[in-house]
Amino acid sequence: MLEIETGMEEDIGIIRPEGRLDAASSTLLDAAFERLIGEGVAIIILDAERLLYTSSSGLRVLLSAQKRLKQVGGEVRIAALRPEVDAVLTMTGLTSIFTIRESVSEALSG
Amino acid sequence: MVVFLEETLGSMGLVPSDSFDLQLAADEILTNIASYAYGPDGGHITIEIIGDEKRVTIIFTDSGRPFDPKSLSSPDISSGLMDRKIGGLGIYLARQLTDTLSYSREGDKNILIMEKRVNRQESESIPSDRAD
Repeated sequence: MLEIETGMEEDIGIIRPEGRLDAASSTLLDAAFERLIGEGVAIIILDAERLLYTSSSGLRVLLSAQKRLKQVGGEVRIAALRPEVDAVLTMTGLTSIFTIRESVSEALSG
Repeated sequence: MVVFLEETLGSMGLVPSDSFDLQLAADEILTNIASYAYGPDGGHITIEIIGDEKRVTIIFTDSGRPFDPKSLSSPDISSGLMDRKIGGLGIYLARQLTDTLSYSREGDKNILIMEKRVNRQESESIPSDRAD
């Protein structure tokens, strides 16, 4: 189960997934990125405070969003990671690919 | 299937990190089988979960196309963003999260066995379960 809320803080997009990100639910996250990127948002923060789990399907969505945003001078910033999800990002070497911050407020400032 | 995995692993009294790792590793294998083993008509996957004091073994059996995870090269997890491959991380994660991942083809079946040494939170009766 995954629920996603999206919002804007000035010109920065925020995506808040709540629950588990797997093969079935990652399409929801993909759609949320798709919509914001389609609206011209270049910097998107993934607020991961309530993200309990991710499989490689979720990582794939994040990686693909990061590739698209970097091409337009933007990026995905990941905030408030839980240790379990942080471990999955570390294991796959993705922590060097994303800007990772302790909280959304820190991610907002860069 | 995911619920069966969650409930069965949850009932084994594993420490949370072992339970998380096994769920994720099994999720990756299942996703892989569901994506590549069968055509659009789908097919069957059997999962057996066996636990003893020190390890959990999960056996996946399907009758789809032959697939040996060892045939996949490991993704380069140190490459930069633009060289980073979007795929290939699932089997890599399953390997990292378990102690062994072995494959055999028997007749028309793929049999994939994953094993992980585990720690239990407390001693209790050991469930063994099976779903088709």
